[in-house]
Amino acid sequence: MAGITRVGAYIPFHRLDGETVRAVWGTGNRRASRPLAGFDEDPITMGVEALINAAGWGDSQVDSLYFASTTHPYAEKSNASVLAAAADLPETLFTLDAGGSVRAGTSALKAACDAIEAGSSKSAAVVAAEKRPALPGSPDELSLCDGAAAVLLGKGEDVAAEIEAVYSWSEDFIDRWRLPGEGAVSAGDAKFIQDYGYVRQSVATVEGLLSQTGATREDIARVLVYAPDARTHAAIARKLGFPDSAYPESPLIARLGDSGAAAPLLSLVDALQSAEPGEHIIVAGHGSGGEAILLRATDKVHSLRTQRGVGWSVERARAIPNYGQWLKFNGLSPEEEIKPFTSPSILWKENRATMRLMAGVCRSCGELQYPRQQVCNACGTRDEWDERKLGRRGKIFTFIHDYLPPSPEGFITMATVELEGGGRFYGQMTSQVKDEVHIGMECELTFRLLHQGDGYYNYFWKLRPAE
Amino acid sequence: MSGTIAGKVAIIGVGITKFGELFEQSYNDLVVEAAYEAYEDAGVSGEDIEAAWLGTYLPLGWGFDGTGGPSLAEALNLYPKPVSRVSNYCTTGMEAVRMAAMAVASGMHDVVLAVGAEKMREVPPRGSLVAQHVEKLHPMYSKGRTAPGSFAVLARRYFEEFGADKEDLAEVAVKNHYHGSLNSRAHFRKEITKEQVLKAPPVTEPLGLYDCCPTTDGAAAVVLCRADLAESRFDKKDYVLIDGMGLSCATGYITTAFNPRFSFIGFEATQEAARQAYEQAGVTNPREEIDLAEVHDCFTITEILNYEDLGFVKKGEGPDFVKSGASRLGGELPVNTSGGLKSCGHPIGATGARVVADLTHQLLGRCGDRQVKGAKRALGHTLGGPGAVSSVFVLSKN
Repeated sequence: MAGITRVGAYIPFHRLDGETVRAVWGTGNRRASRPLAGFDEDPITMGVEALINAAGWGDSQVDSLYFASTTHPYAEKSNASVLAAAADLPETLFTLDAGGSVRAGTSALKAACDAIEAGSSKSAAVVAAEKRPALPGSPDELSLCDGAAAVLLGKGEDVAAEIEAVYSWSEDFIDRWRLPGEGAVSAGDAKFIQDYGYVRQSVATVEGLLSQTGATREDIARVLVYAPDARTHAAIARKLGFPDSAYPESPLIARLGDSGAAAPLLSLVDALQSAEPGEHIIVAGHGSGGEAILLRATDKVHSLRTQRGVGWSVERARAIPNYGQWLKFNGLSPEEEIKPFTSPSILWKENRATMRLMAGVCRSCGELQYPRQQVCNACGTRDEWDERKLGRRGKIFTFIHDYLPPSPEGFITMATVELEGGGRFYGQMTSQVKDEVHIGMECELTFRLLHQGDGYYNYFWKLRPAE
Repeated sequence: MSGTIAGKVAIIGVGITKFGELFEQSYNDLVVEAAYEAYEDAGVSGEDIEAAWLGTYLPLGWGFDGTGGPSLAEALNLYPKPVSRVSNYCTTGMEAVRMAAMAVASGMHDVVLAVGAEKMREVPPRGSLVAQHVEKLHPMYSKGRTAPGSFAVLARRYFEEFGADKEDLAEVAVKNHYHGSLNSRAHFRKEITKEQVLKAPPVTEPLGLYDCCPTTDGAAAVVLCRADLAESRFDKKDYVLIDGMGLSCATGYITTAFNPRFSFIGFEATQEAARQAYEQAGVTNPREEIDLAEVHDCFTITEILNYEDLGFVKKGEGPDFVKSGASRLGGELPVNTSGGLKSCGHPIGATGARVVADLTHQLLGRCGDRQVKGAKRALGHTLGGPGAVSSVFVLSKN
């Protein structure tokens, strides 16, 4: 039976606090603290974080990748292929971008599960990531949440949670929508969409699964449903009628906000990381119908606890100091426009080095060189290289804070890090606290949006404190 | 085998424009001013010049002139002579002189001209060097690096290894601004205090505003000839001889800070270029045998590292060297008596030629208030890229 073998999550470290919003607009939920993608983050970079948290650093055997989002950075051009390269997945890979609905995460999970069951995929990765669009001053700016979740699917003894059943149904229904190019989500009549949309449909989704499988409410240890806000989540929970203990004590929608297509998988990853063997879990996605998935934790489920999940991300949270940063992160305040030189042919031919971080080890002298030349810069031997992926972690050898280049934070920290396994990486730091950066600081590589030269996204690796 | 330049080439005339934000002058105006001053100093005319080299680092970075030999040929009407342009980061001007000297030493030409020129202030300072790093270069590697950022990483590492600090760097700025106050052609002619340096806004921590050279326009020119012709043909009693000249590329440009062998406490390029120049010149104890030096103080930390890399002091002793006053005018080995890049400014292509021209003035005793008395032998140094390439000249009075 197909099931989940590995999990990972990534919630950006920045928080927009209710008090920060109230200082500008005078209103807003004081207790809100909403995760916010940094200026160099988008669903692709957050998806890469979650995927690496699930699949590890290189040597992955994943053969199919489903990338769900309603906010894919590219409307045309594969988004999943960027994840595949950055997470160093094999090139013999099936990729699919799934979008169009906040249900895309569970829809992708169903498709991946079917591929495993059909035998067309041995190891599938499902990634759901969102950078949710909200206008300054709108209620959404405090209720939406950016983030990503990833699960790996397979069969056999590595399975930590078997997927016992999937129920799916469809009903054309207008609750929330967004047209191409619009910067915010629109919503229909609030009372109507709550009662007839979120509550009625979610109940139908979960009950459909119960009647399909013959399971009873008493069989289910945990029920994870999608809702756009905590109030609606409570309304769905009441109507569904499971015992209170089946619902998360503090659902992610209440703790973090509405992360759209990523929400069901984030809830699932979080639940699996505290699940006990034998527990049955229902996770439901919503949107013009819905999916409900029934999982059973196996005796391997504890193995998921060491992976980086929601808890790992949340521990690193910190509030942005002022409302202006939120505007800058979203390109809503005037910035010096820079369009660095880049070229599709350079990005293509250097892909293994820039995306997969492949260095060369000289067969003649053993020098690890990154980026490598044809001729070894240590011994002068030509074209005698073994490829080796750079290590992810290292210690700062030297660094500076540079106020000259344009940056939404007012400065760029550049550091040279001596990597575990050899070699040095020199680049921008991100998610750092300026005064805490020091020589010897532990850092790790993180995939980020570097710039948008030539009009497309130029992604590369930065350094993030890892102490 | 490696040969030597010693005794083969004479410098018989030099010219330096005023350095600064020269909004009223064009690139060609600067080239003409420097070249004709050098012609006059040498006692030659354009007709005597057999071949010429132009040093301009990045013509299309901030203007359009200097893209090739014809830029110089056009400005000076050197048609149809062999004229070429060289570019080698911040050693560019010195590289023009080196190419010209090699042409003489090879026997190909008797009298040649080297001009270094850069017109950086046709665009705002940010639009020149900062934009070059931000907007040009590799799309990924080292993106976010700037010129001060390339050197500040060494300051941080040097502080870590040797316990030096920003006050040590400030000593260099104060000294070179004092020297610059005595040089009528310097960009900055005001003395500054250590307090001013330390209170200046940060540019690239740990470097502040006064740790950095400015963005400047300028040009310098050098007329060279076969050593034996200086007196016989041009009737020179006093002239300058090139005793040694070295050039070294020791790391890549974009990849320097990725290089596991890059120490971040000095520049192998400088050490190797100096070794070559010293060997040709027969210098074995530079601190004793060199009377003054013009070294590349693009940033204050660089000058401290240069003292060490050039062999004036041991590694780690640079801060004490400047604090002792040894490198100040009147000290045992005055460094950057022109004011250096810090006060003169750093029109990139011009700087190396300006260094050679300045040292020529010193060796010929023409420097007035800032003259190093009895100077017989001088060292010129430039360092380019993030320390990837360095050029060193040893010059002496005939």
